[in-house]
Amino acid sequence: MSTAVSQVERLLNLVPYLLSHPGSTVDQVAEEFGVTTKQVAKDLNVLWFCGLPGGFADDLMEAHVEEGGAIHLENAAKPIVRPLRLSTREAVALLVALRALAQVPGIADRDALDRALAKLESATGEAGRVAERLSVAFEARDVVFEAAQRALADKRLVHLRYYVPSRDEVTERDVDPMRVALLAGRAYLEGWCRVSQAVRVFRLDRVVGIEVLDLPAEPPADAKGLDLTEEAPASALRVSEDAPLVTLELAPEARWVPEYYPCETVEEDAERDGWLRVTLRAADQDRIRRLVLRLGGAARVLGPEQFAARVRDTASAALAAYGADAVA
Amino acid sequence: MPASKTERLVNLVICLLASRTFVTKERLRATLEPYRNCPTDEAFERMFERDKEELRELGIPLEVGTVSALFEDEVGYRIAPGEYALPELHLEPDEAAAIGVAARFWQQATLAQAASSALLKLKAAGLDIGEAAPAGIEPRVRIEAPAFEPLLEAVYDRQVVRFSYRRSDGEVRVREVEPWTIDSWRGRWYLAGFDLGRDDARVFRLDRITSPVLLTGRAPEHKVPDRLDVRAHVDTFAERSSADLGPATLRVREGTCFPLRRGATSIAEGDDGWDTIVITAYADTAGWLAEYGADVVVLDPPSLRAAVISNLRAIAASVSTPAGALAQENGPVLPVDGVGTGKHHKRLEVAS
Repeated sequence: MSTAVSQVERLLNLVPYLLSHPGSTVDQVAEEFGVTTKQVAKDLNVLWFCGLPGGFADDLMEAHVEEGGAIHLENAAKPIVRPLRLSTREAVALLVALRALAQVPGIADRDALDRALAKLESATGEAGRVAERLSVAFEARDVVFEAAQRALADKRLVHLRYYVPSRDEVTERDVDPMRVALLAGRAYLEGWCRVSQAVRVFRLDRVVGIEVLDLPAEPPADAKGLDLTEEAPASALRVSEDAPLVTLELAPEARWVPEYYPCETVEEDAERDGWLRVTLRAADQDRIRRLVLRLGGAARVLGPEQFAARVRDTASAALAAYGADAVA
Repeated sequence: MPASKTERLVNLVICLLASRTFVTKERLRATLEPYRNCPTDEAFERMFERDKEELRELGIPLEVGTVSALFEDEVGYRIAPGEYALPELHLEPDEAAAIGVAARFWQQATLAQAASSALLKLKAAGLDIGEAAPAGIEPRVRIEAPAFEPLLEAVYDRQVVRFSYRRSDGEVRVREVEPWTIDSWRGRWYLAGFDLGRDDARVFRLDRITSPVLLTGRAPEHKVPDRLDVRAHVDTFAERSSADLGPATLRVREGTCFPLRRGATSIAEGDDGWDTIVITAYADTAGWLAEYGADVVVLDPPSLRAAVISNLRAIAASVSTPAGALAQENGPVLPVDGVGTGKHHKRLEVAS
């Protein structure tokens, strides 16, 4: 969009904004509209030349800036005292988000989300129907999600029974909730873990049990939340640089692996069409051991041999449990 | 001279909004100074055509109609106030807060920007929308696939698109698709549409699109199915509702296999250090049962038992046998983990 066009859009919004926020300062408007104060001054200057057609001086608007920066708009042109309706894209952005949130199982304030959605839908008309072509769904278990939100809102300590898949064990810990987030399609609780004495992010679908305790949440004042805007909890992945690399050969049906497991290298297999050769690094090799077991014949461990042996031993032990007929 | 152009466009909008009837070009030229100052008719025509285009670009509903019943060829313009303005809207404080949270939903640049400009219009209308998140819920929706932006445009405009797509087995082919919807489930993005090459409905993962998405400008020819049917199609593809293969009976070692226990329909504790549980099996159950190694033994059904044994044998023997030779006899291995089992492997690895 050209500079002039985006300035037109801004001015058509600025007039109603100044009317509904009388006394706003240049600084406030600059911040709200995401432009420099210099640009606000320019915009206001343009308003002096805009108004009802007629050619008389009193047909034009007057945007006075007082000492201290407060803006007073006088003689606003009647036809543009209401903002322009939402564009399709703007309507989609808000409606899809509201719908997605309202559908998260166990979300607090669902009623408010539904009411806001209904009002916006009726205010956006056709654009609202286009919004149905885009959707976002989160996985959440309503009981756990609901308890996490309640603990956060009431500032209460929670006791978590949390499943750690790589070790196939359930850990017990008390957590001071700091934030509930919906990221990458799932619900998370961020809080101060009293066991590990650090900020931790818990995936709520791995919470086996949650109890909101009758004790206040007291995360240390200097406990810093993780940056959830980045590939974030990846920082919680804590893959050590010196963990040994595991090399796997993947059959075509296992090509999805690098999409789910961060790999150090991914190459097409030179000898077999459609096969991949990948290297993974994981502090906790149990995770990769489990992956290989799941893949069965679709994966082959190329090294290190020690890891390959552990995987084979697990498989042999498992076969033994099925009885003599199962052992190859 | 962007300032003078802005001035001209704003005045044109005001003029067309203020008029109850269609305004002819001649009248506009006489009324608005910049048009009046055009040295030639051609210069005015060019300027006015460009201005109309830019108003449409802004989403301003510019109407064209005949000025009077007597002269049908006399065309005029107007903007209907009811079509132009945001309708009156009243929000309760909790509704306003909900919209505030929704406005912070997108991390993707164009949608994030659209959300904040929408919010600004609501504020300009006098609605009080705070920035604070109630109870600290923070949604953050990221979209990394470069295909998203052009596909979204194609989905809005209903245009046929063309792109290269890599299937899960590695095959890469050019697809031509009439797009229907874009949906996200568990952080992954899917396009549903009609694949013209396959002559059938198909679902695509956005992160498997390997080329830039080309908008062909062609309109779709096939009827868009009901939204719910499309949804069901995507859910199946994303294994959001995988087919239930019936009950499976397992022996699980005491104190292990929590995700299996959680999804179990019955648990009978044994006194030999093993419990017997019944779970519902899905297409990918064999794969993830193998993950538990010697902590789980499938009792029933025989097909599941055989599939797990097959997985384990392939691995136990993999020291001397090439993997390819064994892949054939292996049970199904699917890319998405069991739904509702709490057993998921994704890039977002968290507290351990």
